[in-house]
Parts: sequence; structure tokens; C-alpha cells
Amino acid sequence: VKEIKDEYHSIENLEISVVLIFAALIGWAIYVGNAWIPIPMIIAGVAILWLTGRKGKAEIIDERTYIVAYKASLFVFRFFIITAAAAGITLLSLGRGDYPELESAGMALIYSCCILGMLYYAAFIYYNKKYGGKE
Amino acid sequence: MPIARINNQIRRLRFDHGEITQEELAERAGCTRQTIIALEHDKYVPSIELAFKIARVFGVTLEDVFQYEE
Repeated sequence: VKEIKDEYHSIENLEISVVLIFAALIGWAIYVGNAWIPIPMIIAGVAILWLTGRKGKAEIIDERTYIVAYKASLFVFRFFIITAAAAGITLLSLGRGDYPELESAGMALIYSCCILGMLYYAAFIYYNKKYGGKE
Repeated sequence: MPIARINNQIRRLRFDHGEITQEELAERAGCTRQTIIALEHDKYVPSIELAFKIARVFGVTLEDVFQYEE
């Protein structure tokens, strides 16, 4: 069990490192104005996270970890949707008033909420069917 | 709807089985020690699979370990 936990922590650390390094590199690429660097970076990052995630699934067998992760994800998802929607509406309102430069940021936040909602609905249908919800 | 509650006898069963440690029980049941601690403090209800594994470690039936109360 100790080895599994150590493995879990090393996978977790690797995932955090990957996200931080790739986020920094993508940020730098955007800063220097090179639009071609982020695309392979994103693909490589997603591939590494997918591979480590698969390894993690094979190694970690504790169900409580999954429930904790599920609850944390759901909390973050709801928190993001609510705050982003509120911030988006506020920015959009301000953008249509005295601060027109804020309108695009507000629209981006509202669109991200809509896309997340659609993704959630699609994922819900997929997992509902996968776990026997099909009539 | 009445509140349902699942109690367990894990602490007593560990004592009855020669004070088997939480770590050892976790290892044999295939979970972490934190999960055993959470179960003993009634903070977590396990899946049926884990419940069967724990009962099997002690060599008893599921209902000897877990009791459902309404």
C-alpha cells in the first residue's frame, strides 16, 4: 500500500509539474506571438496527462480517492460555472456601458460557461449509457 | 424518508482477530489506511466490493461487519 501511495504521489507531482511547465511555455509562446508553439505543446501535455492518468488508474485501487476526486471536481466545476457566469454577465454589462473593452472578455467567459455546460451534458449522457442508463 | 445509516464492526473485528493493524487490514482488503480510518469513524460507506473484501479478510459474512439501520 505504501508503494502504491508513493507511486500515486509521484504521479500527482509529475502531473502538476507537467501542467505548470506546459502552461509557462504556452504563456511564453503567446507572449512572443508564436501561434504554432502552443498546438504541439497542448497535444504533448494532454498525451502525458492521459498516459500518467492511465498508469494511475492501474496502480491506485482505493475507491475513496475516486470519491474524493469526484467531489472535488464537482465543486470546482460548479464554482467555476457560477463565478465565470457572474463575472461574464458583469463584464458584458460594463462592456455595453462605459467600458466597451470589457465586452469581449465577458463574452469569452459566458461562452466558456456554455461550452462547459454542453461538455458536461455530453459526458453525462456518455457515462449514463456506459453504466446501464440506456433503456 | 427516514435517514438510513450503515454501521460497521471493523474496530471490534480487528480486536477479535489479534489486534490486526489498520495498515494490514487495508493492505489485505486492497485499500488505504485512510479508508479504514474513515470507515471506523463512520465517515465513509464502502462500495459492496470493498465491503465483501473486508468481510473476507475477517472470514465472516457481510452482515457481521456491516449493519443497515433505518
